[in-house]
Amino acid sequence: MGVKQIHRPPQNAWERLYVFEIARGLGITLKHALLSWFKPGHMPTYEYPEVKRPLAERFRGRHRIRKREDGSPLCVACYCCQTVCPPQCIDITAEESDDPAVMKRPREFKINLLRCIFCGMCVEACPRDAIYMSHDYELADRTREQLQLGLDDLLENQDNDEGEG
Amino acid sequence: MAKLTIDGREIEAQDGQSVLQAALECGIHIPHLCYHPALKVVGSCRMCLIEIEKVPKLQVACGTPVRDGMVVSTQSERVRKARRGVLEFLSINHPLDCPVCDQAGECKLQDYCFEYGQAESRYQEDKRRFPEQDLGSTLVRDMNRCIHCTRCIRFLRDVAGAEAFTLYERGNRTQVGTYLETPVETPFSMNLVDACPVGALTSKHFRFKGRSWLMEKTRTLCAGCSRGCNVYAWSQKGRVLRLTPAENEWVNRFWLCDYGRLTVNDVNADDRLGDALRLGDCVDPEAALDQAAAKLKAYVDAGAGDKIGVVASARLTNEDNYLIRKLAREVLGTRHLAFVEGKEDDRPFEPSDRPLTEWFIREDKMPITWGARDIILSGEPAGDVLGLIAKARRGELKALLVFGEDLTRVTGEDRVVEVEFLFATGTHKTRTVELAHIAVPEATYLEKGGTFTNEEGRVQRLRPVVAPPGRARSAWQTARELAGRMGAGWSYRATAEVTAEIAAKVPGYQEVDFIEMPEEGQMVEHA
Repeated sequence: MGVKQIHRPPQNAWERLYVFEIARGLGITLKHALLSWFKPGHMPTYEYPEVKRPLAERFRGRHRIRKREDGSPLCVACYCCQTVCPPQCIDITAEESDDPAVMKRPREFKINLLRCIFCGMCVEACPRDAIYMSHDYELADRTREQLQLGLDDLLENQDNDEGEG
Repeated sequence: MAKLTIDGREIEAQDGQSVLQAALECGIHIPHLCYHPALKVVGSCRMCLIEIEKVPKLQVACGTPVRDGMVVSTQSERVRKARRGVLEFLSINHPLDCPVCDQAGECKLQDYCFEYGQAESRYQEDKRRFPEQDLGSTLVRDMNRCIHCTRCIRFLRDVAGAEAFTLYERGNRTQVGTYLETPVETPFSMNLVDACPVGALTSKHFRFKGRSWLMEKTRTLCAGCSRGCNVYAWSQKGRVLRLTPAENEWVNRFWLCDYGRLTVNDVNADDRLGDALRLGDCVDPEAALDQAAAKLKAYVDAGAGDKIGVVASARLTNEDNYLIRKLAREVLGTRHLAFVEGKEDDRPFEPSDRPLTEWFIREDKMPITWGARDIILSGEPAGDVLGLIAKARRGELKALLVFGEDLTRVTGEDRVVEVEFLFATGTHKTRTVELAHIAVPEATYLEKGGTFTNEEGRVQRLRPVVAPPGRARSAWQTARELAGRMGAGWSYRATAEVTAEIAAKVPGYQEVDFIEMPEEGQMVEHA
């Protein structure tokens, strides 16, 4: 490893005085301070968490599983998402469904959110469009166990998010 | 011999072989659905169409015998187009419910559609629909998926000797199944699941338990009877989910009986023993072995080694029995060695073309009765188990070591034997294990390596598929631990070392080679 010499552009006399440049910088700060006071809508930042940033339609948040009309999961436990998942965070256990037309349903559907990389390949692989990634991205929690999603967690709160399949 | 050219490759085939057989033998794959090497040829699926030079129409490879100078093309555009057409017809009524179908991943129709088919269906009309049908305790039939290859019918009629299945109704409504939905009552019913190239017949036992591509497949042996069928054990997350037959021309051909397949339930049972027990309470296995060895050493040091009885079993491996025998004879110095063996079966053993019911399942439900005779007896007389128990009841024995057996099953009584010291190894929480002064857990046949000698004298390799529960281990390891604690300098670290010693010491086993053992096994001479 050699040492790389950086040649800074030479400063002229005005810049070398500093005091005028400092005053100009303070002027910029003052301009924005006044703008935030009199024209708050103009600001490029959001007052999170009171105000949330609009998300792209295809934003990938935590998973949910769509329901049938009777409230049962649309998932048929084909294990395609589990197979394709790169960090292997999905763990499914299948069972026989009471409904002969459905045949197979998940008894357990576990997603380890700590391991998930939110790549969306499970959504891509799903033959029934059952799993989708919602716009829910506030995923902090107090224990690791609370970030292991079960089938009930995946089925709840479907009405108030606009996730895309 | 006939010389023919397939896809520009010159191959030799035996007269009377079909083009399909000749091609498969040379590793040229021709797609086929209704053809099965053990079943009669019907040529009904039309999947194996091939183009033969100077023959105007495409021919089925399974039904065309080889001729000298034949020039066959299996990949020409005409052939591929015809296969695409056949698949389109087969898929007309097929539900394409691969996500819920157990056959997915090992389904030939799925594979061929992937290879030749088109992604979009041109069929607009309604598909036929049948309800699922229960076919007894082992099978579920989903007629929607059936492609009418009749492999199930031919298996039952020509191989199993139970003419239960037939085709009924006609055309689009054709159904395959039992008349009036009667259950299939044959001890080989689950072979229908393997015979079915699609998911029309699925196993109730395995249904929805796992996906073929997520499971690991290990070639090992079935321990259900003395035939020693070759099986694939399919495991996932440390559990064996199913057994399927592995081909062995000399033992089980392509088949496996239902009883053998369901032995896997015993391995997965809830009452498996994972900890060592002292009078029914859990203890550390190492401490239990220390205590047992100290107790046995006290007998040997007091000159009472001959008052120790040892019971081996034909349920264990050759290696287990060899070290149990060595423990009894060399370390304990007792003459009282017996083993639990199975029933005699005087029917011929060799696989034949007669119905499976006549030859397949052996009366002897122990995997190595013959191996145990070779290894434990080694030419010497040994008492039978009932004699040993009688001796113990008369007070002639002070201690009894029981390996891998439940003595209450042997005697048919609820009590075991009242001896001063009863040591037992057990795979399950049996009566013997509960009553033993010290019991240590034992691995089952799917959890240990070793060799089995079947009724015919064929030595085959058993491979560990999953880890045993808790602290369980093989009987040979338990015997080694006991001997080591009693001062014998045994240095066996691996099963192969015990097998090598068997080859060196047991008459007739000179040729047995654990590492290099061929898939079909090695024959030994019974002593």
